[in-house]
Amino acid sequence: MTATRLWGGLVSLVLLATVAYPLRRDPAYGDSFPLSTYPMFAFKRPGARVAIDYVVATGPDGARRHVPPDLVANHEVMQALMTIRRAVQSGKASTLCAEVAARAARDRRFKALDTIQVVFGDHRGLDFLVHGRRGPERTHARCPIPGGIR
Amino acid sequence: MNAVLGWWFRPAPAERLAALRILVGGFALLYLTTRLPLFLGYAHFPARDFVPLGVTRLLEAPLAPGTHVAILVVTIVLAAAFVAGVFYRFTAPLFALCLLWLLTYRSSWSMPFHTENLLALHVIVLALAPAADAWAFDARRRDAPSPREAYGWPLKLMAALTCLTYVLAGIAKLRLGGMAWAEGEFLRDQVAVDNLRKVLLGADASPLATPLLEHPWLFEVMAIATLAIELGAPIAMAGGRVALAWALMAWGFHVGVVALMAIVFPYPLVWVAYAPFFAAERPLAWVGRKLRSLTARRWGRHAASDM
Repeated sequence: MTATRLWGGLVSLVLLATVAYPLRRDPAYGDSFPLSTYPMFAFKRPGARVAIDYVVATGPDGARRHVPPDLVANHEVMQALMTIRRAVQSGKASTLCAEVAARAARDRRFKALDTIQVVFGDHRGLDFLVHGRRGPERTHARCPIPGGIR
Repeated sequence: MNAVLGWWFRPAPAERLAALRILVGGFALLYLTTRLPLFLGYAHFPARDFVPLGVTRLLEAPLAPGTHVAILVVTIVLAAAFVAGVFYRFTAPLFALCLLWLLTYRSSWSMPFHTENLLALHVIVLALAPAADAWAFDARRRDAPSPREAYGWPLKLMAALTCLTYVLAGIAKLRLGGMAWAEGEFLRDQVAVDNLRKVLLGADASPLATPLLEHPWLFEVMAIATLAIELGAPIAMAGGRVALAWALMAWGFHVGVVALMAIVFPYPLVWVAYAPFFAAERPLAWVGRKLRSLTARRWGRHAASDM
C-alpha cells in the first residue's frame, strides 16, 4: 500500500462515512450543517396548511402589505420567519414590531401605510393562492410607523 | 477489491484537480463577496435568535461583531489564495476550516442552508489533496507533473459526495413520506406551502406555481422524477455519457425548484457541483488559451503603435 493510497483511502472512507452518518438520525429532527439529513421537500403538509407568525403593514381604507424579510432580519425568508417566531415565543413581539416600524419609516415602499402588526395567520395553500381565500388571523402586537403616512 | 481500488485511484492529470480547485474556490470567493452584506449582517443579529449547530456548538453566545467580521475578511483572503494556489499546504486547510465555520455560523441563526453543504464538503476534499501542483502560484516554476493516483482519488471522492448528498435527500423523502411521496401530493402541498409562506413573509413567490397547482398529475410526474434522480445518483459514478445524462437531469431538477419555489441552489445550477464527473481542465484550458491570445494581440498592437 503506497502512502498516496493510504492517505486517499483514509480521507475517502472518513468523509463518506461522516457524510452518511446522519442516516442514523431521525430526518425530521437530526438536521445539521454540513452533515445533513437533507429533509427539504420531504415533509407531509396536509392541506398545504400554513400557520405562522408574520408581519404586515396596514393603512387607511384597508391598505395592506406583507413586510419583506429584509425589514425583519435579512433577505433570507426562513431567517425572517425564525426571527418573528422567536420574538413571539419569547414575548417580544412588541419589541420586534417597533424595530420593524422604525425600518419601515425609512422605506419608501411603506409611505402610504401607518401601522405595523405582528400577526398569526392560519391559511390553506390552495385556498389562498388559487382561490384568494384568506384564513383567520390574530394580532400579537400593533405599533405605529413613526411619522405615519408620508 | 483490487478492481475497486484501481478504479478509485485511477491516475488523473494534475490540471484536472487544479481546475476543480479554481472552479470550487472561485465559486466560494464569488459567493462570499457577492453576498458580503448578508454575511456582514450576522454580526448584528439579536442574540436571542442564535441556535448553534455543528462546529458553532463550541459557542455559548454569538461572536462579538468584530470577530465575525474578521473571520469573514480572513476567509475571503484565504479563498483568493486557494484559487491562486498560494502556499496551498497552509492556506487551503485554513480556508476549508474558515469556510466551514462561516457557513455553519450563518446556518446557526434559523435553519441549515442545504444550498451550501456540498460546497463546504468539496472544499474540505480539495484542501486535503495536492490540488495546487498545476495552474498555481506554488507551481509557477515547474512543469505540470504526469498523471498520478494522487490527483485521481480526490475527483472520485468529490463526485461520490455529490451523489451521496442526493441519495440522502431521496432517502429522507422515503423515510418521512414512504412510497406515498411518489404520488405527488406531498410535492404539490410542499410547493403550495413554500409559495404561500413567501407571500405571507413579503417575499417574491413563483409566478408559475399558482397556475400549476391546479394540475395534480404534473406533481406526480415531478415526484417520480425527483426520486429517480436522487436515489439513482450513484449511476453518475460510471462517468462519461451516463454522468452527463444524470447531471443534466439533476440540473433540470434544480431549474424546476427555481421555477416552482424560487429557491436557488447556486452550486449545482452553475454546474460546479457536477464538475468532478468531467474533464474540467478542458474548458478552463480553452479559456486560458483565448485569454493568452487576446493579451498577445493587445500587446502586439501596443508594440506596433510604439514603433
